[in-house]
Amino acid sequence: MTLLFPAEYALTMRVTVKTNVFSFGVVLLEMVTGRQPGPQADEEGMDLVAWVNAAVAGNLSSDEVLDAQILEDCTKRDVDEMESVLRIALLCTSEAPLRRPAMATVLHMLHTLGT
Amino acid sequence: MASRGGCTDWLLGFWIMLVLGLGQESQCQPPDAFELLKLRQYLGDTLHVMTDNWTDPNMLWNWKGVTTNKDKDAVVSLSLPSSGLNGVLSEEVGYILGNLTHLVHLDLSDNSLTGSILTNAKTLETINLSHNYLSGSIGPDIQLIANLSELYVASNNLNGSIPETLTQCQNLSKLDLSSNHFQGEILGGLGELQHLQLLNLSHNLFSGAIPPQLGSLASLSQLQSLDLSYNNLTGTIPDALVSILDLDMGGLNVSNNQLAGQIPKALSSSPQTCFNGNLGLCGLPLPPCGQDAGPTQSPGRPPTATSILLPMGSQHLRTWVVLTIAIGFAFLCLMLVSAIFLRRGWVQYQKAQLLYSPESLSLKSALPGMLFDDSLKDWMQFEDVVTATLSSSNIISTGRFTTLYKAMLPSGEMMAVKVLNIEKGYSTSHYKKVCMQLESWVHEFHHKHLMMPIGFILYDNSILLLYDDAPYGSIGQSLHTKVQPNVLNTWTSRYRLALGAAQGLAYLHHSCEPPIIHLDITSHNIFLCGTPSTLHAQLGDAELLKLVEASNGTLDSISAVAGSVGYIAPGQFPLCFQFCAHYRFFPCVNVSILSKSSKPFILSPITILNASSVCLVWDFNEVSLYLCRVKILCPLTSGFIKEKSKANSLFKGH
Repeated sequence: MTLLFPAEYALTMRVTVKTNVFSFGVVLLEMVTGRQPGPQADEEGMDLVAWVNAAVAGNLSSDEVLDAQILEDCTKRDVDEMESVLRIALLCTSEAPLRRPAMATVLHMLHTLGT
Repeated sequence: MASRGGCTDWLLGFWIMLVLGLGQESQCQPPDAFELLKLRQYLGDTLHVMTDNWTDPNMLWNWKGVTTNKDKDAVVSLSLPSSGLNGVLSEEVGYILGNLTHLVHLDLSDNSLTGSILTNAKTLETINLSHNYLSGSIGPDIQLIANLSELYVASNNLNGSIPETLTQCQNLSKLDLSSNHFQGEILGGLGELQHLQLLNLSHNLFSGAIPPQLGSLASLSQLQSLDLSYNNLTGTIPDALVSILDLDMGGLNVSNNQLAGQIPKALSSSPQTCFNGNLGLCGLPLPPCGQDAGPTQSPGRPPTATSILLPMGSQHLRTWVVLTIAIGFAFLCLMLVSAIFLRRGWVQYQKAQLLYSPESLSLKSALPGMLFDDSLKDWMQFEDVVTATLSSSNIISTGRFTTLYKAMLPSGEMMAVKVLNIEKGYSTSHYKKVCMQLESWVHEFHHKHLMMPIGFILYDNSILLLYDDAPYGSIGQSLHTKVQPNVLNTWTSRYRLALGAAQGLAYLHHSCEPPIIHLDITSHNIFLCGTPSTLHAQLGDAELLKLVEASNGTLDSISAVAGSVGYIAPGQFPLCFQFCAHYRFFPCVNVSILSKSSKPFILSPITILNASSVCLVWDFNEVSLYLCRVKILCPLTSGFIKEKSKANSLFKGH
């Protein structure tokens, strides 16, 4: 009487592993910048991904991008790591799914920060 | 229901058509068409199924949901399940149906109809009115539908007892009264129905003993399923039921009643789940009689005094001794309680009543649920968990699909409880089955960085998934709200958590075949577990996909699969629809989004399962909405049934 597609089929049509990688990239951005993921208060019409991209493109200093809350207690090495994670996060949030790395790659990159 | 004006308008149209002589072959329109058009006036038709498809009375045979006889002039079947109908099955509707003198099959299931069960259409053989909001009882005149063979009225608000006259419907083969408020004793006379194949009386308030006459059903070896679970049945399982042995596995279900005594030997090969949750059933497949009756309880519910004592009392003398002690003990307790109340005063007593009595009363009926780890059963009572969750205003996080609460048990133990809403129309057993599938999955996919449920409880249209405590909340909570202590105030701690979350997600993607895709990754869904020194991330909601798959889309909370705002990848069809009319379940509709440039996206039914189509709300702002056009199509007919102009205008607005 009723036809239901298998949920798996329905879901994988839109949500892929690369969708997950994108979302994970946003979480990384949050942890590095301390900012909310959605629309940014200081930059109208920009979400976090757009904001970070604009900041990097506009050559903002790391002080302005990274989370000021923890920055003062950070060593030079910490700041380097944060910048590396930021780059990984930007890769994860690439607009084209193909350019987003697989989670295994992300994990590897996180493991080998600064080496 | 319908306005008088609408009615006259229609009549005018009707007569004009008549005058124009649209139907040359037939002298007059089929009278049944006239009746159906009257019916249309009485029922709300939110999806315009009738309005749009029931137009030309000479094409009656072509009307949606209508099947006619060979001569194409009389309605044999009226089938409009899940069609967004509402309104009252009133006396008038009854007359109309009664005038359809060839009507054999009526299916109005899964709509939002109120009113009562109508018995006017005497020619009916199958009636399906399940999943509506019907009330009242089944009238004794049901016997007038002499050829009635299938009656499905599950998941309504029906009450009263089964009328004895029902047993005079000798052709009855399928009777499903489940998930209503029927009460009284189960009619022994049902055993006389020779053709009965399915009898589902589960999730009602039936009381008394299981009539031994039901055993005679099986002697005719017609009966395939007898479900008496979730009632208040008492006494023993009659030996006569033994003949039901021929039933398929799980064909007999008497679980969650107040039954006691030995399970007939011939039933010993039946699954344990068919007997669980009773007062004192014993013997295979449950533990042998004379032992602790704990296992017949629902999992997780510790044995109470009565349940330990009763099965031991299979011998009369012991029963009496035990009962005497129990009564004495109860009396003693009563005295003690009275003394306390007298001391504390009446006001406090009333307060205590308000606080505890109603809840503990309603919770006394064993809550369905399960703990995945046996060792937890000793210290966790489902009732306590529910109470702690309900009374707790401690929301740890709110995800797109779920809300996570912190619950403190009376023992002081903390735990996390995730609440998912479920569809009202489905039985508890459905969701229980769904959740039980989680168990094997949880054991299989155990990972340090995945927050996996340790059990579940079904309570009040919700699934409560139970977890170990996440004492420091989520990453999002820690980052964006000023919680103290802030465990994320150093980069080292943040890095460690990011790494852990990545490990959890990489595990889902790369160690599971097929990869498990997470439905809602946000910082609010990654939890901080352990102590400050062992702090590690645990990815929450990893089990959601499995749950969605298992539930066939009947989880109310998960009405859209799109992730949370700010986390949705571009170009991945990030629209999140919320359809806001009041349909409970809508399985047949599919939405396709047609864009100018590309092939249509097909939005899966899961996206809109418990929704309708009238208003579209999305919470993502970067979509090229102007490209889209919404059509709703029904896979049943593989064709478009309705283009929603309102949806279009919304799209054009962007």
